Amino acid sequence: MNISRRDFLKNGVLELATAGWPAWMPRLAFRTPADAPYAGDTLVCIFQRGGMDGLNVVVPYGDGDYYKHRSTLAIAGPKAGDPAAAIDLDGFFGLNPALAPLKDLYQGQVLAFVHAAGSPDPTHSHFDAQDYMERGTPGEKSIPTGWLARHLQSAASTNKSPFRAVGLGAVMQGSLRGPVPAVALQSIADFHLKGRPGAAGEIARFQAELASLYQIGSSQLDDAGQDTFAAMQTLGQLTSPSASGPAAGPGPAKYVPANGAVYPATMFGKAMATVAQLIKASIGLEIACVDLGGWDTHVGEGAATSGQLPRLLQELGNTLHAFYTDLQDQMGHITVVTMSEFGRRVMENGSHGTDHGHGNCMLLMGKGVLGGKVYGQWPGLAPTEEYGPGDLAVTTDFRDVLAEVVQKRLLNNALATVFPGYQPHMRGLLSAVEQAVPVTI
Amino acid sequence: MKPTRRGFLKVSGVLAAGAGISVLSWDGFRSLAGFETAAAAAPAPQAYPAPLSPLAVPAAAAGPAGAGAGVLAALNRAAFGPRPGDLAAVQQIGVDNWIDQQLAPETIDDSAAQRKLTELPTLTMNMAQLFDGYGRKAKPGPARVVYELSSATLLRAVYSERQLLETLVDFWSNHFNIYIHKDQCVWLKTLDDRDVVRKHALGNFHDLLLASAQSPAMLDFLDNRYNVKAAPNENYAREVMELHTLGVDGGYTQQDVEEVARCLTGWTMRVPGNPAAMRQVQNRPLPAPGFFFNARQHDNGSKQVLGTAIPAGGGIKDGLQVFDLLAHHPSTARFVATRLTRRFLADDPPGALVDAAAATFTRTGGDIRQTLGTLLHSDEFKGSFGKKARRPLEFVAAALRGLGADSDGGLPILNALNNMGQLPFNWQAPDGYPDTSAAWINTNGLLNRWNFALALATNKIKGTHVDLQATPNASMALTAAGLVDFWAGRLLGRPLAPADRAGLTAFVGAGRPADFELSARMLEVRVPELVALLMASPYFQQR
Repeated sequence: MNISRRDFLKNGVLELATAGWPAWMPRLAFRTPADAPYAGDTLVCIFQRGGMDGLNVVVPYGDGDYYKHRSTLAIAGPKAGDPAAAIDLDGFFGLNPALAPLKDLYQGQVLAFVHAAGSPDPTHSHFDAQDYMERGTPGEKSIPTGWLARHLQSAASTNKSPFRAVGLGAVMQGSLRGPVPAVALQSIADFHLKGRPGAAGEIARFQAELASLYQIGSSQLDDAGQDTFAAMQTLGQLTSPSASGPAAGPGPAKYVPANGAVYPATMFGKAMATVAQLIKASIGLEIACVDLGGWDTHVGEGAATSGQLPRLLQELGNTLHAFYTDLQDQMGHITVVTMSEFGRRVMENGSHGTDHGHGNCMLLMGKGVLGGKVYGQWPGLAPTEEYGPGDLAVTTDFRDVLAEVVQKRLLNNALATVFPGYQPHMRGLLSAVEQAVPVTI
Repeated sequence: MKPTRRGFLKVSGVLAAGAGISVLSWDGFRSLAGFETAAAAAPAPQAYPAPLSPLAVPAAAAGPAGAGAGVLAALNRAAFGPRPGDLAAVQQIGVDNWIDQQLAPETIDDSAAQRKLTELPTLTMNMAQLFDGYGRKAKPGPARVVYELSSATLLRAVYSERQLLETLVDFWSNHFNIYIHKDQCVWLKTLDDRDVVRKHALGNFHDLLLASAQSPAMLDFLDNRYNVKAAPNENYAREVMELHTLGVDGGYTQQDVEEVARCLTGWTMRVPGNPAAMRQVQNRPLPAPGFFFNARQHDNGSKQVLGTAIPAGGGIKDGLQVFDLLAHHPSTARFVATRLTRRFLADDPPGALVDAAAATFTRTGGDIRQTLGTLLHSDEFKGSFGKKARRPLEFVAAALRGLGADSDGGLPILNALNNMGQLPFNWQAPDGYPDTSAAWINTNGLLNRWNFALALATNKIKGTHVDLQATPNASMALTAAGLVDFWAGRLLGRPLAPADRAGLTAFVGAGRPADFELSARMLEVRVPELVALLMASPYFQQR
């Protein structure tokens, strides 16, 4: 018997005792405390789709084997005046110069990397690897929910906002899949019904009738419909606070980021600007998922200055920098984490590119990050140290990184629920949120 | 002689079919039969829930054996949704006969759809014409080629009489997915669509697979054109097994991926204007663009693929043998059958039917037509209406078809599809657009559909036109209840839940009694809104 999400949310107190739940999930009675508003960070999860080449992003210039394996793609170690050389991070690792905008953030200790991180599952399939990472259960597809959905369910909170979780883009990210309301969003300004200009009353009547059509029954369609109305309501109040009902019209003409921040005019740039807007609007956003694709650099990857990888890194670096600048004052309550389904092979291929690999590099950004470090245990790139057919080994499970974020920044201790069947190790990447004063986010 | 309801029923064969319909909407019959009506023929008193058209699914007949349900399944799964009159037509000839007709598209005249494509000349061009005529520096450049193919895809889905073929073209386009904006795919996908997907969509799977493997678009998209002996590129070798044939659990290993890559070294292509490839050697004609086996780049050593030894020196035969192995592997039958069953029946494909389809696939050596026959003639298929959600392409096509819209398939429609997330050939990963409702039924998707429904019904989409007032005998349905019944019947083909019907009637009549005749002014505003509401409703998202 399935309990619809609608019932779950309406009741607030519910015992999960249905056959629809996976056996591993403990029977929990969720009681949302009367006065416990959400006090944790807003988490922004950026998924780099395609398998980012971590070895050329945070470059192990101190490891001689790196240069043996990459005759055309290797990035030189730090050298004054050389724009194609790596930017020194800690004497062993250097940053791909295409990520220069992140240098100040790293040195300002609000940005950190975790290298040789990833999934224990050996798959080289994009789809399986992404699937496992978004479910949070490498090697296991039986659990139908995403790790973020399970976090949202198990976190004790009174946050009833329809914008608790937002997935940017047309197709909802797998990590948010589950019985929690997540809004799939492309643009704030466009998030309303579009009727005849000046016919707000007509549109309101239309919307009311449409809403009633989505109330009969309790199917996935009805849930999604109701979520959409709730989201329109919230965004409508956001964009025109004086309106008493559904959006009276489109939102502000153009979002002006603070502190002179300039987001790249790309889909990713716009998505992160949208996240920033939502955070500033204080509508209860806890989780935002954003995708950046194109990392599957089998051919013509490029190294530091021209090519597919440097182009993507420029976009990523400029966007993250703009985001931090825009939200400067609030970065004490925001954590950004990046992940990719796998890294790429140590040895370059015959097309000036790299094939699918294993270990990769994750990034953390925010004032809660103990930044200015490259974390992780470097396994080395010698043939005996490689994993499988010549990949970087994984010495930090991605779940260790995410679990620490969940516990210390999102204030959720139910890690066994979020990552079932796994015992996470805290790596000391983050400081814990001070719980003294709950903040409205 | 004034036609009687009973006489009409006999003629239309509805009674004979024993559909057991007890109370009928006279308006519905009139619109079908084209009868003139005298003013005296007032609507017969109806007990609700009355079917809204003669072909609405009565509760008793809603099961697998019900003719009505089978018609809905057929027109919403093996076609992109019913046009006005389709439900009656299919009911008339019988679902199974209709399916058989559709399984033989070569026997169906499609000149009407062809006429819609006359402004799209690139569809029939060869590689040289596309590269030479629409180069990156030309105006218009490759964007025009992409536009024409995308537009044609939408137009065919809406206007082709060969509907089953079009649903299969969509299926195989996703199965052998190519992201049109990668490198030269902007030109090459047009060739792939015509010469690979459309050509083999209802043919033999092995032929389709081999054509795809040699398709310049696929060679480009999955990098096999760069796969050479000195530096093998595994990308295509992996995806052809994982996504096109065996499936990720189909029993291949990393070793197999590497060996298949070796077999396919040298499988490359020539493009026009590539000086090295087109170098004219003394009086010899220029080599033709297209697939080309470069023997010098081929790894001629012996190989082992899926337990089969491939001896040294095989040349192009290595690859041919691989595709033979893959096409006829039992995992492939299972994988393809599962995906087809998921597309045509339910997100969670019923095991017994997958088995049956896989068995037909194997028995016939991969005959797609016969495999589809097993699926579509089954009772499970006929009873499966409502189990799938419409994805954006299906939603847009069903809306255009349901309203009898006249569309040019132009940018406004393509933009709408893009906002909903399913612009043709725009999925970047090799696995194609997702085929389960969970991927599509979300806030963004729904809001975009609602706005599309509004825009379409109010004629705000440039290049697309609907005429809601001119629909046959719409002038007969001038009351709020009559309008709701008429349009629900036309767009949904099945009854509304009583509360929904009441709500919509109240909405249309703005609070007046259900049998109040609406003024022309009210009709002008209310009918498009009603139509938009129906297309935006949960009912219309199901198929």
